[in-house]
Amino acid sequence: MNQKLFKQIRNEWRSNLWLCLELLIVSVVLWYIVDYFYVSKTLYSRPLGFDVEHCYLIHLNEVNDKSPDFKAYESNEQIVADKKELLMRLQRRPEVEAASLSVNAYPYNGSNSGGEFTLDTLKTSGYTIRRIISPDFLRVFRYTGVNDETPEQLAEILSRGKALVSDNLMNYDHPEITSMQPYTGRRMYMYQDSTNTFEIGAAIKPVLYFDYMQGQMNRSVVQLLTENEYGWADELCVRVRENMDNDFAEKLMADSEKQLRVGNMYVADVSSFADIRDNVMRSEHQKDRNYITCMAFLLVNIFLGLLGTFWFRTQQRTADIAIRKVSGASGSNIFALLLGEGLILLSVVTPIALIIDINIAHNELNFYLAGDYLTWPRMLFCGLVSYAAMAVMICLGIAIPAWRAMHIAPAEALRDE
Amino acid sequence: MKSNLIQQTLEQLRSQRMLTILSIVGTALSIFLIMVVVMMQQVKVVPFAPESNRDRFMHVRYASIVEREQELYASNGCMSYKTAMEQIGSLSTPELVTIYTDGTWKFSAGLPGQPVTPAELRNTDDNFWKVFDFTFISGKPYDKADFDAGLPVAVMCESTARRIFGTSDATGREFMLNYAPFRVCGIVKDVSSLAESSYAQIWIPASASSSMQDTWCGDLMGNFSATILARSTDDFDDIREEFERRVEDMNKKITDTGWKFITIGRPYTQEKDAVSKSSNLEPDLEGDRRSRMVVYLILLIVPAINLSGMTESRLRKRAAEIGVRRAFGCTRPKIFGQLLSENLLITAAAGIIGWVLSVVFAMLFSTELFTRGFSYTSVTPSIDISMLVQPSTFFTAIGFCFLLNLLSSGLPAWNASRGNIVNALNKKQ
Repeated sequence: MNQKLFKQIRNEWRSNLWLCLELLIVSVVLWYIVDYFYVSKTLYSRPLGFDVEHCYLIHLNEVNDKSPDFKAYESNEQIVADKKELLMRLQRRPEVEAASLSVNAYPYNGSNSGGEFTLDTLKTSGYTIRRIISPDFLRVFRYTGVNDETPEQLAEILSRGKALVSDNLMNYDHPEITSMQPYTGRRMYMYQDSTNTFEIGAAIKPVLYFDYMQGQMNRSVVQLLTENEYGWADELCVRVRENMDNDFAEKLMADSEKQLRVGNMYVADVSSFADIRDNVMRSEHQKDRNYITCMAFLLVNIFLGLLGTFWFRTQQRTADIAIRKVSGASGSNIFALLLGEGLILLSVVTPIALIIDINIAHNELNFYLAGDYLTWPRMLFCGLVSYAAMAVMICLGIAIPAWRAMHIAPAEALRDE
Repeated sequence: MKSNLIQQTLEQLRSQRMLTILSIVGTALSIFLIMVVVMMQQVKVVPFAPESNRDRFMHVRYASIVEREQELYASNGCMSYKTAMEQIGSLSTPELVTIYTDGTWKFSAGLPGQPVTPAELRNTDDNFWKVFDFTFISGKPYDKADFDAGLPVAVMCESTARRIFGTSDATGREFMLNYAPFRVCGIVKDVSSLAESSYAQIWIPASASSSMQDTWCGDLMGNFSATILARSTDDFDDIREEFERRVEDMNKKITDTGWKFITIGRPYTQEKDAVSKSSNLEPDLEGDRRSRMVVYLILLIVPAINLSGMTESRLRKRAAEIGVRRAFGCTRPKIFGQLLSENLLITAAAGIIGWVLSVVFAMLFSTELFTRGFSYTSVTPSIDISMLVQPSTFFTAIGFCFLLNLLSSGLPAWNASRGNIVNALNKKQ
């Protein structure tokens, strides 16, 4: 049986060479795509460190300075008083669980601020994120501490002017420091300004910049927005009670004219964080979709290619198959012979493809995951998945002509002889 | 001869039904997918109203400043109006420069004493209406005098006018924008949000709002972006040089702020701006082009190998016919040419099917395909068939078909025409 198989492959070496080339290219591209999904699914399954369900962003605007309603402020106190008043009115709404002000802090934010933080001789990279927030922000987005401190407990620590640091703050630049907990109570500073230090109040669970983000920007320092600074805080976020979260945006907009006009501020729009998240993630989802399409296209091509080639081959070999049947081969023998031919070609190609894959990963042309491009379990897994996907398509492609070949009636086929 | 060729091709196709169907499906699928990829890219760079001059655009969407001495920290984002005027507005090489707020932001709009609705607003200068070619249904844009005087006038798009006034015939009427009275000076046709630099629902002179006073980092940064309209693409390098000089000049003047500007390759052409991911990094246009090339190559090569196998099979069946022809004096180039053009007919037919499918598909799934990666606007982009059916896309499709044909039938046709006559007639390979 095996001898027959190899002879058959040798006889058709020319068209088999083309098939091999095609399988090789597809195998490498498929591995690349599977690798992409491996990485993105791994990233996607990490804990975020925040919770945006039932959360809303309230877009504040100021009335035009030529408006009859315009109020010319004379001091920062007046601005602060108006901001506090607006915040309070929101907090008093029965459906609102918490409302907060912040600067470059809310999740899925297009803007960020940050810089280099120093603790004794340890420095973070310049991409470390700094979030400046009013204490209730922790309740809105439900940050939690490493020791399972609740958002309320963290808010209490923050309101005493102490900073919260993510547990992974240093481990990007100093991998040996896996937790910031031993450093609570110590002081650190920013931008090489050692005169302006602040105390670490607690270590919090790492907050991702967004779901797929890797690297320094998942490290953060959270500092208090003092009331004096309320004037320049333009992010107003609320968490709505779970059982009362229906049509919040519409209801708030309807009431905003009467209840939420304070000083020059008015509510221009309300967006749910679910929408903001979709918006930010869209390009990632588009990437997913493009890769899936490409993968499907390549697999369909394998199917079409093998279907075409074997259709022609079985047609050519009608007489040959008929003779086999006459000399005792069963239909399923013929079927297995043809299927075997395709699978052997794939198995011959796969080691070559794997060598190319390893080279691609070695040159870091695939996807970055947690410090690596090439790990053996990942390589093996992705290689296996692409092999299996191709094997399925090969079997499907060959099965149709092979089915026909199985049912060749020897007497009919050999009439000429 | 030509009708002969078509007849022969049709006859061939009929005698090898399965292979024909597979060839056509394979080709159409390949062209379909390539064209969808091409269109996704084209929409970002191809000119359509009101951005009909995209070929001659250069953008300075953001500016970057760094701490002067050691570059310890940086700020990246839009500029103040003053910065934009000094660095870009003062350029002499370009035909025109417009300065406007980046993206759109929602403000409340409505009739006096009636409930307000959010509308997406953009603050612009008067050149905005010369650089971008909006279609005015009525009225006219605000001009330099209006801008200098900070007149509270607004251009509104048709659908927003209908939303606020109940009619699109609203030129001259008053409404409240951001709680201040404004007068509609013109109504324009709605704009697709894919026109990233110009899209909005309401446009007002930047001087009629506080957008120009809202600045930070010592008056250097603010809310504004700029688009340069070059006289011709040949001027791009000169404009970049002049821009560099202006930035240098400005850096000398702002020593007391502790900041300095860096240009990171700005201004960017439309194509480069389209691949921009963040305000602090120069877009990697070369890298983007390279990965697009790889995608095209994969989408072409894999089906080409497939089709080539099928063509080879088809031609093998015809070995005897080719042998007879050769025996009667037909030259090899002639046979090669004929086989190639036979295949081109199939490829072209399948290519047209693929191309038409791609346009239909793009129209049906425009939201998913063309929505921008991240934007503040919640409006889904409207797609006009004129954006997708461009001469350039059509010729690209034809080009890809031709390439696919050459790749898939070149070698088999070459082999077939080179075959030994005696062997061919004896049905030996």
